[in-house]
Amino acid sequence: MTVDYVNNPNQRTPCVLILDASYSMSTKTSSGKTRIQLLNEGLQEFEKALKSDSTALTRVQVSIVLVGGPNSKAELLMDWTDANYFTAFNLKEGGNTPLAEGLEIGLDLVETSKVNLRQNGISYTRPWMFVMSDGEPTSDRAIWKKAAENCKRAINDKKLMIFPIGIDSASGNAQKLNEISDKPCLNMEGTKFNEFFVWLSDSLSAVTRSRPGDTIELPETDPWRHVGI
Amino acid sequence: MSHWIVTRGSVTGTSHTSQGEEKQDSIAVIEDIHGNVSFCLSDGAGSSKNSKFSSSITSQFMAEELSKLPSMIEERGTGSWINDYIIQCIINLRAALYEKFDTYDLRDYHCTLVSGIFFKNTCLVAHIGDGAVLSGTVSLDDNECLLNEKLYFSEPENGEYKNETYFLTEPNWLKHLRIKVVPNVSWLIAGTDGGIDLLSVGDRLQDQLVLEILKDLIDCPSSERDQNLERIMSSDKADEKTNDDKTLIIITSSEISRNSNPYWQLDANTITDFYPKIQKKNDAPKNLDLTPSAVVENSHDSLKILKNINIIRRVYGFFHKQTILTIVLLLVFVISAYAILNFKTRQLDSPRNLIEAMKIPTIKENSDEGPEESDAKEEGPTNGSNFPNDDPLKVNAEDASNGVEVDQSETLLENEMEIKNEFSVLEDLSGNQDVVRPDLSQETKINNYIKFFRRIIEWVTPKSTPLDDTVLIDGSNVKQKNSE
Repeated sequence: MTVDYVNNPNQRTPCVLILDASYSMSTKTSSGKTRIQLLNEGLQEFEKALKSDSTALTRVQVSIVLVGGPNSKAELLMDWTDANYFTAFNLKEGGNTPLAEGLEIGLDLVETSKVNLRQNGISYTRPWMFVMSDGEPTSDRAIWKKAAENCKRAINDKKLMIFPIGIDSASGNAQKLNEISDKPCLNMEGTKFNEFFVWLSDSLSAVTRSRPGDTIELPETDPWRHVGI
Repeated sequence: MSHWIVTRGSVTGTSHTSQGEEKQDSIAVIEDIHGNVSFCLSDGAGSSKNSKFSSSITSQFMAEELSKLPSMIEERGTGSWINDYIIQCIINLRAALYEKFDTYDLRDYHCTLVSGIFFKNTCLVAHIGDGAVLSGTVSLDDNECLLNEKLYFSEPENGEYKNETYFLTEPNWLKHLRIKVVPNVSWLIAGTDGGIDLLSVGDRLQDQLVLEILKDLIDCPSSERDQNLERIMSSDKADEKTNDDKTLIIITSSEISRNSNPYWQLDANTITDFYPKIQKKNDAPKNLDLTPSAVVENSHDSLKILKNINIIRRVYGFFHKQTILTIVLLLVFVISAYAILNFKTRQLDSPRNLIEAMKIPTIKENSDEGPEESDAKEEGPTNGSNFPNDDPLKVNAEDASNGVEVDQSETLLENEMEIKNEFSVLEDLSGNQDVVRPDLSQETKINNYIKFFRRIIEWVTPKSTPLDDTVLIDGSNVKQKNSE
């Protein structure tokens, strides 16, 4: 973990990114770049957007779970890191899509974050989890079902909010991703990663300024306009 | 009766000014002719579009209703009726909101309540939601004033999340109403959550910051106190702490104001006593060195524990479901363990291993002596050449081998050495130190023993081909064979 609760005792908004780096991310999009290239550029933009917002910079904690990749498994890629210590990095595509395992890791990460924040006397808002995938999860059916149930239960218990995003019009997986959240899966074209990450940072900034019971107005065209906090 | 000095301030937060929104905090203070002071602060919820109206109505209404309490207490005395009265005040407030906004659904009018009434040296506090009320009793010496002789705290009430709290406009408001009595009060600080953040680090009020603001106001001329407070609350430093609306009211006894040396004792009765102790030290920031697809080393113990628990859980779950497989694996394991142990036991039982384990010393062979020469020696059993000529131990080579070809000379020499060693062992064990020429019956027994051991050794060791000649135990023909 790379956090500093001594010099920065502000409230935190934990944010987990579940990123799909499976082999299918090597597919070229209409922009000529591959999906993984666009995802990497999006991460760079995410870093810039976070660091240009003084509120988000001091109040956001980011963690990243990689699904697929050269190791072809779900693994923690970046532990909880305060936004001001976060530096973007490049992902490599490869392997399958063990998304269910990635979700379980993400849920565990959220609980770990809360334990750590409580132990350090730091308040926090409800964590967010963004799940970005462009392929069918290759997890075993029973494991996927269990992971989806765990996600739904966590949402109902108000432990976190989950936002599924299907990459590059992967209509096949939209239905699958709908199983893990009460929010509809947003299909994200491969060319809009940068804009998405800017939107994400803006959304987090809005959260950090929220009042109790606020319904946040997210940037327009966003189907999650009435996000409850 | 103390004369109360009231200082108040309320500023709009940058989160609202940057978006052109109005302040959602409200404050009202009423001082009557008897010196009693009632106050009410209310913070409108950001999600409620009309909360600034409801907070304004709330602060004014509650300050007025609470200002009626002192005269009622004079008439009736104190008692639980005061609780009923405060509850009734809030019920009446809610009715006023219904009427004012022509609705029974107050979701657009959510606001908190931080209120109180100073009556003589007592303060009654009524509190719903976040914000806080901190008050203290002082101890006065000749020239010194201890500000934290005693402390009283009505803490903010949040849900699990920082941005969750409770409102008087909610259906279950009564569950979250807190009424506290502060006896012998000398000073009081009340604020909305934004105001309290100015005196906090993280989410905890700090003794030092409270002392600083009290001293600032005590030292300040009374006509400038409100302005001074608002200047503090509008500073860049304050905006760095919070971009929310900030509202504070600070009420001090005139006795404190006249004293020039207020101080705060840090070793007893501090604000930190009201908070749970932090269990874990903060991690020092570390530089992260990331490589593509690298797994970052996670040094956090709780995640490691969670991961290990998950692994154990999954392994257990797998074997729990696969009952037949589990049983088969267990049986295979038991059988394999039995076979290995059995094999090892048989190996250990071989004489060679037994002798080695017992660390029985070998006897040096005097290679120059033949059986004839050994007859003349009477030195004792340690002379390895005491084998009788006329009754050599004969070993049928065919018995000793099963047709496996090996280096005959080396094998025969080794066998000879072993047999001689075994003979001397047997001699030592029998305790007969003077044997030079063992008698025939003893020799037979010894020969049988040696034969038996040889057979066991040959059974577990690689086999040699049948010997052409009979091997004499004294090795004489072996030497001849070697010389050939």
